[in-house]
Amino acid sequence: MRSFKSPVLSLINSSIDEGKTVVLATVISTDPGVSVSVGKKLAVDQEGRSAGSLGDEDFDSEVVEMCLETMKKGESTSIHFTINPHASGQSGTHQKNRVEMFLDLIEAPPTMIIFGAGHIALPLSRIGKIVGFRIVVVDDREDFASRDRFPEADDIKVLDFDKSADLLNIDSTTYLVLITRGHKHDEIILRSKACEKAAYIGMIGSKRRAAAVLTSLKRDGFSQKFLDRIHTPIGVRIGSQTPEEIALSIVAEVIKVRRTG
Amino acid sequence: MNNKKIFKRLYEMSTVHNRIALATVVKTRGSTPRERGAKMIIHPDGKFEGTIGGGCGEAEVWQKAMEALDSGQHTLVKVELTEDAEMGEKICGGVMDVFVDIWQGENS
Repeated sequence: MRSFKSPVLSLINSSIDEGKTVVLATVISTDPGVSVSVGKKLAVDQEGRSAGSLGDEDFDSEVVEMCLETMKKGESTSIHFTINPHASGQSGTHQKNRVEMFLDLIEAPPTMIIFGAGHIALPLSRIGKIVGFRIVVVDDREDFASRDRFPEADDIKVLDFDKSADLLNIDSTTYLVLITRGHKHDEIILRSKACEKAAYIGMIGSKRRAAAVLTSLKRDGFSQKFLDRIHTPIGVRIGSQTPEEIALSIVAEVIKVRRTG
Repeated sequence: MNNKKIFKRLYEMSTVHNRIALATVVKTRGSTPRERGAKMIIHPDGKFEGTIGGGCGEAEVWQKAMEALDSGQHTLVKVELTEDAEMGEKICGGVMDVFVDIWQGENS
């Protein structure tokens, strides 16, 4: 039969499908005589469930912990590990019992929520998708937030803006792009507590109109710390003019925040 | 191709091949075309997906992967991208370790 069943690959596959983060640990080199062999694998999902084995139960459980650490750090890494240093029975030799492993982070995709399904949202959803975001498009108009207009979007929601942010799962892997048809709507979205958890908040508009929104929020007791987090005017400054160019500058800013903080 | 797409493809390939090679950049020193974690899948028929940087370095890894698919044995390839006066193509100047893993059977 031309196929094989790998429990490790199955766990990785189901984690990706469920939008969960998973780490694959692979032994890539060892000192001679070490009981763990090169090529052994173990996958660990964000709930700590594992598949596969490195051939040593104690070692497995230590590696599970390291995989969870890798998820926290958010970066793939290679690590050296010393295994059962007293078990070789070759005291006096220089045998080190080192194992080198590669911990490969397969991260759940970040989400970009686009509020406002107008002309900039079209190229934005496509470029955002290309660079690896899960795309959610939100508008209060059914004929704008439609599958016809956004074939690539992962989710399309027709919602009143005043309730929308509370109804969406916003967390530290969520990027909010506010490009509704009017600042009143942008402001209403920003008034939701849920926005505070987002990794990025950007709002389109001229400096003057954006300043009016920020002033209004400040007057109502929103902290300066929160207001300082709102990127406005949105996007990196590349002299964008067309909707496509503006979308590109927004995505560039989102990437900058994601990769450099 | 990002990491998720590579592993989705690897899973799909496990339903049509007995064996499949996955090359991963596990260590880099100096300037290299791709970052740690970059990957390429190599099918037993020589087709490949994804990239670990293209050029001579990638061709070298592809060759090792084809041998590994034959033998069923994983291998660690050191790709030197230091400038070569004769070739004049490896302009990056760095070195990368690429682990060529063979996925097969229950225990993989």
